Amino acid sequence: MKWLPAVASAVLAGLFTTTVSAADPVEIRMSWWGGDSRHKVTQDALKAFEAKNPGIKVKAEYTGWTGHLERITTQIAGGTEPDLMQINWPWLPLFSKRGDGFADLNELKDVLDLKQFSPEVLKTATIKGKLNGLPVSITGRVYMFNPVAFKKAGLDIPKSWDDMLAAAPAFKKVGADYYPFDTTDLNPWYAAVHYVTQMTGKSFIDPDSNEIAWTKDEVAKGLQFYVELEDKGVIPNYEKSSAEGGTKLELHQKKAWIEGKLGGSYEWDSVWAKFRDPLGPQQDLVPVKTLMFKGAKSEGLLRKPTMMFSVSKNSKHKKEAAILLNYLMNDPEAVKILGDSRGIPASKVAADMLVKEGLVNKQVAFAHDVIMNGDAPQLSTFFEHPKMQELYRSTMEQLSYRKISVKDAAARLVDEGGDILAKATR
Amino acid sequence: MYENRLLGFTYVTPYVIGLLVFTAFPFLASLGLSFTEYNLIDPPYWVGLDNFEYMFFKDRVFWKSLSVTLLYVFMTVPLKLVFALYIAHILNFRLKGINLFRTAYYVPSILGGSVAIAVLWRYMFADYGVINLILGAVGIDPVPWFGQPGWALFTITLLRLWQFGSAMVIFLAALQNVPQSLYEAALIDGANKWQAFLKITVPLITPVIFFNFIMQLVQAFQEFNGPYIITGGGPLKATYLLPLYVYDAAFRDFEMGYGAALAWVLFTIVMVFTIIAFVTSKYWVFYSGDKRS
Repeated sequence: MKWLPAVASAVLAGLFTTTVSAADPVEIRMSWWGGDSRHKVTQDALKAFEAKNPGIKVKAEYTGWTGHLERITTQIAGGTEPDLMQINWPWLPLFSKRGDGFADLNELKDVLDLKQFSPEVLKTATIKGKLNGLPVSITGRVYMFNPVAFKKAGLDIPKSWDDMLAAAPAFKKVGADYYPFDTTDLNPWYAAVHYVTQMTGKSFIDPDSNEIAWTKDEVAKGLQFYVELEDKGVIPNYEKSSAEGGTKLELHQKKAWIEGKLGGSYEWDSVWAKFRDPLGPQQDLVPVKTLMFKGAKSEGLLRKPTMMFSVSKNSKHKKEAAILLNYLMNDPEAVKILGDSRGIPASKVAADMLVKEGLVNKQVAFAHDVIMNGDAPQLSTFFEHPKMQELYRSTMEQLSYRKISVKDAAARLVDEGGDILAKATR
Repeated sequence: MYENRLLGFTYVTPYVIGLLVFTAFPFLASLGLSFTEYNLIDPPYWVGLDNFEYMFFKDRVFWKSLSVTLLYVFMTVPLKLVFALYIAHILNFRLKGINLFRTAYYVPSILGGSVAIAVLWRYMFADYGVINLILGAVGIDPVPWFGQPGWALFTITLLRLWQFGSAMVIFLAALQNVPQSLYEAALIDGANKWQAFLKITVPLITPVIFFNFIMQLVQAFQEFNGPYIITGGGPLKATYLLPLYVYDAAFRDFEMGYGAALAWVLFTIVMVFTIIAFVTSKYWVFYSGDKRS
């Protein structure tokens, strides 16, 4: 079967390769995904870059989020990927299992100011000593509450998990479908993970060995906590939440969320606006300091890079790509143009500048502070591996429908999770 | 004579090239891939029958998905055929403005497979959707259409039934070919409408029933859009049809080898059912000029 990738890449190369003239200015390609606002500011930044660097021309290839992974995968399989690519952090192990999937940015230090990034941030994108990409921004899960929903129940927004558990009866008095908290899709799992991380101070998957770090008993405690949330009416169960429009309906699209029947959620800080906007001017969404469980060892935050920029290992113009990358991440001109279109930058010089110029929403800035200044065990890149996510999702679903016991669910997460990791890291 | 033949070959060349490159090659390549592990990045790695062994003996999801698929097919195909035939029968009456009705009934199957309709379906059957509102108005409690596994599959089935148009049009054409004289003769012999339908109409259109049956069977096994958009295969994998699993294996997990293996199993199942239909057809399909009665 060795001929197959060769034939496939030949066909793809024939289809996608654009004619590159050998003329003087070097042409490099850059790709990213995003929405219209990100497309616009990135193109503006590229124009400013070309004006500053007449020797380099940049060809932009941008799309929406959907299908971007398939697109990049096909390009990499065919050897026709752009010189500079926006890569989602969980994709890293898919493309660079052994650290040799992308160019090592350490070798481009001359033109790339890596000192603007903390060692911890760089470590998240380093595989076997090779820096596979530069994290654009860091995100983490933050508790966010709708104060209007809590006011209806005669309460202030919760400051601890005890407050949250105590709020459930008050919400029920307002209406049967009122809940102080919501868990949609993977959120139940993240809530359980947060609980166990606070108790153990460890991350679910060990970032160095990429093996499951929790015992079955520890996982079971997290799942038991989730079941308790359901039983006490703190959160709607899966049946309730998927009846609202299939499992694919996201929380911010749900009527119950928009109407303030749900008190809050546990979300990545970078997507605050997505959940805030549908609430309209009558309501609000307030990020709070991390809620602590009784007996917690640490804040146990879930923190990770959102996305990174990687340079193709096949690129003929690695240096030019690195110059562009440095411009986008660290140059005040570009930082001003790009704003927070990719979250609050991980680059120190860029983050300082945005805050100083008041270009960041106050609540987003607060949520980001909570994330950056709390303690978080390092997350394995495999934590969000697509197969692991499917395992979390299907196990939590079965648990919520009570098709499986807490004990069996914990065993499944540890055993099958271990199998998936063993296979993925092989 | 020879030149003519050459010209003929020239004409079909584009089609043959298309067939070889875009159908035959991927078809055979996928068979080859089904014996490998292939993540698109590293070269395929030969694993022999491992994919199939895992599928048949270890993969819970496969068996769940297969049983859901069979349930779905055996619910939708007969119901849809009966429904299409029934509507075609009604539209065969000579009524005023019948063409308008024929068009109206055909419209859903033009729209039905589209993403927009699937999204609409999701809103209609949602907790606060129009269906539950109507049920509420007549005093029926809201049904968790997407919340309970059984209801979710039913909702997906309805979407397919609603697209009965293409089968209906074919039935309609067949019904119009049944000679009127036979009905007149039956009427004189004292047969009622129902007897005429069963003894004259149905036997005479069995070739078309057979054709529609095969087409619907093959299409039902390949259903993807509806469940993918409306339920995402959930809840509890109750609507996780095999094509969804093929897609997830290949493009979510990037296990092209396993995806190809699943696709080939699906292909084999469709093939087996089609062969059964063909073999049994000689007992129930009657062609004109056929000696049997």
